[in-house]
Amino acid sequence: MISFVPETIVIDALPSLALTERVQLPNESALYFVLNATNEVLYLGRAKSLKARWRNHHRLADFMQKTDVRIAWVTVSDHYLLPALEDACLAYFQPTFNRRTTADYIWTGFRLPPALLAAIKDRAARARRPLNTETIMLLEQALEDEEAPARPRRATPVGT
Amino acid sequence: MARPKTEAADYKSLMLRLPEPMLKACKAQATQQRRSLNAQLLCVIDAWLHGQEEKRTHDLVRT
Repeated sequence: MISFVPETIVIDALPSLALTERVQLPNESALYFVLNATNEVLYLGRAKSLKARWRNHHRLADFMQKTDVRIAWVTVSDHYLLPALEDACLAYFQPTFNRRTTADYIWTGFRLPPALLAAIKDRAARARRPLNTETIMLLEQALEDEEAPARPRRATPVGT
Repeated sequence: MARPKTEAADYKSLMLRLPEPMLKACKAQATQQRRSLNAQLLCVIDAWLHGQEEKRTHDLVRT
């Protein structure tokens, strides 16, 4: 059981870089916070590789329109913990850019093989989520994994 | 082993409501890869699901 208290995160004390310096972000799994000039959390997210995530972040255009935007982060060594940590931080910080209105969604027609549809439906049923939500979550994860470089596998010692 | 092919006529339609930034990111990737948006979404989801499947098998074999 992990106890994590988002209240203990001191945003001002976190390592951070200006949005324009994002190429210098570390190649680590982390929770990241997009901050404005007054250190208000505009958006937060998680990434297996912070550097890769920000190479082509889907909200980059939105943040580029603002001035003095910074990216702060908390390194999380075990990326399996990221979803739970992100959920706790979202509930606490409630960043403006994480809230989506229905106007931000676009209907998209999609044609897919029955086996793939069945696999997504099966995942949705197991997670007790609507098919649309499950597909969005799946796409988010898939897109992030595609951006993150594959980690080298640990070599098995000879003779073990 | 090669996966069985599905004829295009057998494909099922699915209407999704996607967040605009995500849709834009997918469209940009599709353009980059010179694929249709539909093909890009299929490739991304299919590759990810199979990656997960392989990871599960790998974990099972290890245990």
